[in-house]
Amino acid sequence: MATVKNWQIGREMAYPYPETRPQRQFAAVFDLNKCIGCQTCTMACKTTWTVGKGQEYMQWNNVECKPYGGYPMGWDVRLLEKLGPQPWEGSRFAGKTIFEAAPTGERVLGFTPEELDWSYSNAGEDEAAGTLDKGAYETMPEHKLWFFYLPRICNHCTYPACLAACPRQAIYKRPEDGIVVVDQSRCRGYRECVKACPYEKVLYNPVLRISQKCIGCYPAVEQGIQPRCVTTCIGKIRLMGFLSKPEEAKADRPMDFLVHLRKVALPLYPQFGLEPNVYYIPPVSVRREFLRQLFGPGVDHAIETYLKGKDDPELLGMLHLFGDTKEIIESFRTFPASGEAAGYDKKGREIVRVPVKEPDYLRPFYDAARQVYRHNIS
Amino acid sequence: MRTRKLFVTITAVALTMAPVIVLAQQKGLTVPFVKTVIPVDPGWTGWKTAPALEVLLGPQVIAQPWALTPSITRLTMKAVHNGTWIAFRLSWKDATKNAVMYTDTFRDAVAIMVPVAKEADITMGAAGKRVLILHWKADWQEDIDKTFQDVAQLYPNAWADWYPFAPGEPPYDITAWTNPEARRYLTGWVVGNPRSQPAKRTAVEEQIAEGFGTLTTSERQSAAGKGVYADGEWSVVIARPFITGDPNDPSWAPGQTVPVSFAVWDGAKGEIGSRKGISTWVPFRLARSGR
Repeated sequence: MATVKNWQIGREMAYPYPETRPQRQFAAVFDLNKCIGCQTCTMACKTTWTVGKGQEYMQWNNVECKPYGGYPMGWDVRLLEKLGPQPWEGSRFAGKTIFEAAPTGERVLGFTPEELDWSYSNAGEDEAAGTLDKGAYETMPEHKLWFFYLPRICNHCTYPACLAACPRQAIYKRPEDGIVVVDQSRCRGYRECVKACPYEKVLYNPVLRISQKCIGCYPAVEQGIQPRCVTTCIGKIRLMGFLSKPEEAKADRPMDFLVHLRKVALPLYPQFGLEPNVYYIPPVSVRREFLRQLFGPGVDHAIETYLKGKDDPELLGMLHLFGDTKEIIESFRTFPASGEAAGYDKKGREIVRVPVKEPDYLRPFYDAARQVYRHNIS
Repeated sequence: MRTRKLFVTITAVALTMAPVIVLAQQKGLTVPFVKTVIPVDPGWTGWKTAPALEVLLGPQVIAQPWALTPSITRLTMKAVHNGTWIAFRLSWKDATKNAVMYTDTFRDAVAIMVPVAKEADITMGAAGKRVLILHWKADWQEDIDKTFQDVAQLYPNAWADWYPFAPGEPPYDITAWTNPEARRYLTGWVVGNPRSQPAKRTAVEEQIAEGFGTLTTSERQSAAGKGVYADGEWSVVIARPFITGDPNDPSWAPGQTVPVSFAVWDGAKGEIGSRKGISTWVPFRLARSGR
C-alpha cells in the first residue's frame, strides 16, 4: 500500500498504487436542484453504448430517486452498513476509507450485488421520506417531506477502487483525461472490480463474460465534445469539463470555479476515499443530515452559496452556461454590464454566449394589429 | 532462493490459520508411456490402470485477493503419455456443478502449471521465469457440450425487440452476427478476447505467465480437454503435445522429470482468478517412450 493525498477527505490515505494524477482530469457537475428524473440521459447513454448482447440490464448512466432508490438496489446503504459509523472531524475524514477497511487478503472492502439487485432501477421513485403529519406545513428551504433524483455515471475517480482491485491490471486510467476504462481484451471477468467499486459502476456482461463500464464518452471528449448524458440533458443540469488539483485551481475554469472556488459542487460519498470526479450541487430542500452522509461536510456551505447565487454574478453566469453547448467549455467569463456569460474553447474561441436574465417584454393587453388580447406571462 | 523465501512466507501464513492446511512437499508421480492414441475423455478405460496421486491444495495467500480457506483441498491426479502427447486426468469432489456465469455466479475450473524456463516459481512464474498454464473452464465446456450461452440460454424468458444491425429475428442468435456493424457492440468478441468468442474449439485455454497478474493467452492453442460432472465429482482430462514448435513449449520430454502444479476453483464459493486452492510443485517422472 502506498500513501496518497486525497483532498476530498482532507488527509493522506492508503491506496495500492502511488499517486499519479493524469495530465487532465475528466470531471462533471450535476445540479440536483434541476434534475426532474426524466431519464433522457439514461436513454442517451443506453442507445449509444449498451445496446449489445449481455448489456440488456446495464445502465452506465442511471437516475435513481433518493432516499429509497438505488441501482443496484441498496448499493450505498449496504456498503455504509459494512463500514459502520465513520466520523468526520470538520473537513477531515477521521474514519476508514474502503481501502483502509479492506479485510485481510483483500485490497478493497466491497460486496457483489445479487443479480436481482440490478432489476429495480426505478424502485423508490417519487417516494418521499416519511409521512406528512396532520396540520403540517412546508418549510423553506429544507422541506419536512422530500425526495430527489440522483443521476449517476462512473465517477472516473482519482483513486479508482475498480482499478485497485483488478488482480490483472486490466483497468487503467487514461493519462490524457483521467477517464477510467476496462481493457476488453485483458479482462477475464473475475468481477473483482464489480465487487470493489462502491458506486457499482462496473457491470458484468454475462454473454461476453467480461466487465464493462462508462467510458466517459471518450471518443467525444477527445474531440472537445461533452458526453452524451451531458449534452442531451433537457433540464440542463449537467456540465462536463476538466478539474485541476485544488492548489492549481483557476477561477475561469468552470469545474475549478464550481468545485474549488465557490465550493457549491460536492463529491458523492467522499468518505469512501476514491476522490470521485462527478460533483453534485446538493438539493436545497433535502434534510441536511442525509445530504451530509452523501456529500460530506461541505453541504451547508454549498447550499448557502447556491442560495445566494442571485447576488453572485459570476456563479449565476456560470450556472447559466450548463447545457448550452455541446462543446467542452475550457474557460468562461461573465459580463455583468450586459448581463451575459460566455464560454470559450481550448483556443480561446467563444463557443457560447447566453443572457443571464432573459429580457422582459411588456406587450399591450390588446393588440390592435392582430385584434387579439394578450396576457403577459413570465 | 526466491522460491525458498516464498515457501517460508506461505508456511508462516499457513501456521497462523485454522484449520492449518499443510503445504508439505508433494510426492511425485511416474507418468507411464502408453502405446496408443489417448482419447480426450475422462471415461477412457486406459485411465483405470494409470497410477494415481493425491494432490493437496492449500490457500493462495501470496497475491491479493487471497483464498484463505479454499473450498477444494484434495485432487486425484493421473497422467499418461504416448511419446507425443501428455494427458492428465484430474478429479475432485464438488457438491455443485457451476458452469454458468450470471452476474453473480462463478464457474468451476482447474489448471495445470508447467515451467517453460529452467527455473520456476510457484507464483505463476516470475520475470524471466515463464510458465505454461493449461486452464480448463466449466463454462467453456458447457459452450461446447450444449451451445454458446447466449441471452436465450442464460435467460430463457428474456425478450429483446432489437439490437442495432443484428441480423435475423428475436432472440437474435449471436453466432449469426457476422456483420461488423452489429459486432461493434460485442467488444470482447471483436477484440479477440477468448472468453467472448461464441465458437469455442476447446474447453482448455493455453496460457503463459511471468508472475501473478501477467497471465496471457498463448497465440497458439494446442491443448485439448474435456470435463464431465457426475455423482458430485468433476473428472477433467487436459492433454497437450509435449512439443508444438511454440517458443513457449516447456522443456519436457519422455525420460525427463518436470515439476507440475495444480489449482482448482469452486464456483459455488465465488472462487475465480486468484481466489483458488493451489498445490506446490509435484515432480513428474516421464517414463521413456517404449515400443
